[in-house]
Amino acid sequence: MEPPPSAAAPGLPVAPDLLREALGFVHRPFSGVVPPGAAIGDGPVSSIRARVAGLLGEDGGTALAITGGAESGHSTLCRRIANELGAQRLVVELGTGRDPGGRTLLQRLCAAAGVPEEPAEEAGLDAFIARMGEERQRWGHASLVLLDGVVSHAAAAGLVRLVEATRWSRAFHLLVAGPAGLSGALQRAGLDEAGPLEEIPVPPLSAEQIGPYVRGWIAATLASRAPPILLSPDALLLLALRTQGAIERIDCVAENMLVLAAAEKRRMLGTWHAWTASDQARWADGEPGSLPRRPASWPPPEVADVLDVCRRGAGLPPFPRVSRTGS
Amino acid sequence: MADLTHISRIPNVASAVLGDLSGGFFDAVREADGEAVAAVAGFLSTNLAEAGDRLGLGPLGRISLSGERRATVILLRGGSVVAASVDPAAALTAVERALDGSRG
Repeated sequence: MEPPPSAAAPGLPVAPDLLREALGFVHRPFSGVVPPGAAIGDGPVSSIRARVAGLLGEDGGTALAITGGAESGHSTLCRRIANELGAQRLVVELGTGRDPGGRTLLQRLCAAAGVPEEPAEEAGLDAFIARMGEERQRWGHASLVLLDGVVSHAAAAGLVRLVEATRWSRAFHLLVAGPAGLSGALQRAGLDEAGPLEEIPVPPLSAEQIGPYVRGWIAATLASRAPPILLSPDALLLLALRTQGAIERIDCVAENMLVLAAAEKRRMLGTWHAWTASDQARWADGEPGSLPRRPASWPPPEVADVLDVCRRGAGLPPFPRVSRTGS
Repeated sequence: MADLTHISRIPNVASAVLGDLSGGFFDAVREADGEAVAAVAGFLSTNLAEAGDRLGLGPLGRISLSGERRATVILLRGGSVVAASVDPAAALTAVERALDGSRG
């Protein structure tokens, strides 16, 4: 793995001020955008990425879905793939949340691709396919259409049409980030002629994969000459327990652990950080003054009890309760 | 564990922590943040053992670090790592001698 340079590479998320100044990060860790050439130990995610990138070749016609539950990282993974493939082809990205204007999926897709709106769906689809064909000629690679945040019931009808158009026109590829069971929902909505939509689930990381994943991100985004950042094994056990291996939740908690350590000017991430870091909001985007303060004595009994449970699961003795006084 | 008790009784050993090469934390005497000490001791031991290998030192037995005020001795016994904090730093040689003596 190439060490990151001391200045941020163009197009990559820059490290938040606190992480840059206190710990020496160049790029933002756990952002979903991995510096080129960096290998983060994300286990099954890397193999999914490689498999999907292999399926989306020069010629269009591939439609597939990457699926998972909330915070599984399926959405981030799709955007990462689109970002990586974006250097060699046009990427049309569309978030498919509720549209206040009541437009159909196809109308919104046309707008995202800069295709003039047509009154009839059929004409709109033809115009979209024609544009994708032009882009295929221009780039030498079929365009990638990324639909993010698909909710199976709401988008099923429009999506069936788009999957079919992807297959018969071969003018573009279609990558969908959606919930598990999306393929079945599309079949029930009428997608059956050319076979079901291939669904690739994103599994959670195992407890053993979380350590290499967190360390991989830190190594990929820290300046090459910065001193190392250490992680205690107990902090990793707590992180595994709190996140259950869901990648987006790991990303949030792990970045917040770094923010907390940076505010304390420490380079060691321990159980205090793993217990306290929020799994809801990214603290790097807020004010450092509002961060929790480490108590004089750590861990309190209720945290030590949880650590015992984690340790038991890992075949380890209980967490040492109170430092012995010796004699 | 017996080692930790014995080491903590050596004069000028302010605190002692038992861990392993991965930075795992197992016991502490007079140390408030044993988890952090074990993580640092494990990291140092692993990295310096690798450096020692390259220098042809053979298996690493002990690492001594001395600052202006305090010192630390890290002992490696099999997979276990014991970090003893020495106060004042000037007592480091005497602590090392006591540790050598205790190994027979």
